[in-house]
Amino acid sequence: MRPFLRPLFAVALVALAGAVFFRSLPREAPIERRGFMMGTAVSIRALADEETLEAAFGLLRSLDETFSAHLETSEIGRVNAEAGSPTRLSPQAASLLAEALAWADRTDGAFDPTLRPLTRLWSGDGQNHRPPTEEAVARGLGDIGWKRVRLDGDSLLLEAAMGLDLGGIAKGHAADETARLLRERHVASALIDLGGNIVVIGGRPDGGPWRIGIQDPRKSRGECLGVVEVRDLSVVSSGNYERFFEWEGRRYGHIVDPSTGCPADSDLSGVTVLSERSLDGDALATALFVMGREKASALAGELEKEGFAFILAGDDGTLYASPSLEGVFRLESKEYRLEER
Amino acid sequence: MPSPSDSSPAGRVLIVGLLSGLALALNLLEGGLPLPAPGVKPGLANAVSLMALLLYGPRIAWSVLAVRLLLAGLFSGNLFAFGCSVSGGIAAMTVMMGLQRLFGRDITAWALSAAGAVTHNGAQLLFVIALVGSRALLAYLPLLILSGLASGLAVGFIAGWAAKRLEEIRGERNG
Amino acid sequence: MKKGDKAVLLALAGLLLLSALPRLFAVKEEPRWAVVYVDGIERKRFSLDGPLHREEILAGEGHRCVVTLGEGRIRFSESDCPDRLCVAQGWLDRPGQAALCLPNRIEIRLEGSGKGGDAIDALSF
Repeated sequence: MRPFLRPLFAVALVALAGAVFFRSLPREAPIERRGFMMGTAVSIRALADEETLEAAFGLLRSLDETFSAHLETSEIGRVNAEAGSPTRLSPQAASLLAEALAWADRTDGAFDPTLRPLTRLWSGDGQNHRPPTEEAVARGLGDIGWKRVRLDGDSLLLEAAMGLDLGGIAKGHAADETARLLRERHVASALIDLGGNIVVIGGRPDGGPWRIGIQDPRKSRGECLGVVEVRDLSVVSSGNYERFFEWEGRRYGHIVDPSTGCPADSDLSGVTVLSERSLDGDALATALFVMGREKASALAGELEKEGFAFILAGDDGTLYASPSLEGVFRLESKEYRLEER
Repeated sequence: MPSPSDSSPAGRVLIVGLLSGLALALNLLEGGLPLPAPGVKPGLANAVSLMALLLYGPRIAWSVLAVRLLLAGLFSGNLFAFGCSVSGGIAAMTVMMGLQRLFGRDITAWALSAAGAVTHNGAQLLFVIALVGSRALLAYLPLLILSGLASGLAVGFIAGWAAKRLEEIRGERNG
Repeated sequence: MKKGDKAVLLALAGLLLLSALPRLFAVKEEPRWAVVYVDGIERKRFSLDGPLHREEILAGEGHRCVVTLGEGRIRFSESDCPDRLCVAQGWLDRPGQAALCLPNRIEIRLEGSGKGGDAIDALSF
């Protein structure tokens, strides 16, 4: 028997060694993985191996489960249920809330992480989407306000009936965390797409910049008004064109204006923010849309000095693009007029 | 010193175990190679199926295949890949066994291996087509046949050589 | 070469020829593909050529959607989801376009990313 075993063992050893060696080689072909999370379709395309993408998706799933305002089992859900009494947040949630409050301050409340009492009214639960009554909205307005949040380290006190909704910042945050994971694993090229919230690492595998289309707010999904060519950047857009319902001839968007309690009726049709951190882009895209053209242009002007870039599409066909986007943004639609601020 | 021979139950278990391990190692190796078509794998483990068939006969060969498929399926946890491997493995073994019965000594190892590899790829493609429902994937057939031929030939030579050497050793041992 | 070897070679050559034949004679242009993902996994792939017809897409827990496709386009035409926003998204006829049925986690996406030079990698919306 032994003479049989020796050659077999030898071959087996060589095969095993070969297997281990080949497995450890990085795959150079880009791979893509898609999923359904955070209420939308997500995808990651990267020069990486399966395990890395698996880890990235695991991270996305756990972030979704932690921060979703819709899940009662999420940390946010639990915190909202305990509104009125002091509670402790996980370090992650505390840091995210702190960031959200900082943006609320900077945008003078146009971005507000405490809108759950209102978003719950307007998102409806199922079939018949109808606008809430004026009384309900008024009541809701009484239960919001970022200034009423007491956050001290990881101790949180929300007044009773208040509720956190981090939806306006969640995807950006998730994208940042995912990009961080990928970078830690030395991924040199990746495109993270969380329902239109884009973060890219490096450029395309072929060396060129990633080409990100900017949705034309007045056309159907997939029609772009232009393209930005970017590396290592976040691109986030906002507008009422995505999720909305119609009732008796009126269209109601999904971005709530904290000052009115109703979906924002803005003179901007779409806002795109290019930034280093997607969390910032996400918060700003929402805020600028709510603010309307005048206030948005002013804030954009300030933020441009801090490295941010913007594309603001007015509902009258005018378009503004930050000067730093020269050579980066190409307007392709003939239906927009490029304007100075 | 008494040691299990390949005809005793203990010996058979040992052999099936060793060969399955070898087949699984080759499966791992495949993971590092690029795919010629969506969801289809090179099927290097066929070399082991063939060697088992040539050296030890159909019963041991089928046992090795069964163990390999089961364990590989468990390890990968991917039902789709499992289905692919099963269709490929079983089809290839059936064809190789059939050809061996039909031609006996009138066929060499590389031809058996080539036939097995092509059948393996073809069966996997048909499985994928049946699942995804797209006839157009048939366009991959020529490519798969060619790659099956290539890997089959390479593998066949090695398996054939190994089998012959082992036969000789077996012959020497039995005097 | 032994008898069996020749037989195998002949069989393989024949198979190769047969399978390559349609390719050699096909003159038709690239059919457009619509890919259906359920829970992020590709489940079905449809060619958009040919006449309009319906196909059923099954999602988890017994849910289903029906898509109508053909003549170069595709859309959700029926769905058992509560808000039917998917149906409201209308026709997809350009490469890269996508429609979603969120509750049933079904996504239809047209393959390709647009005409060569203008192709985009992703859409920010």
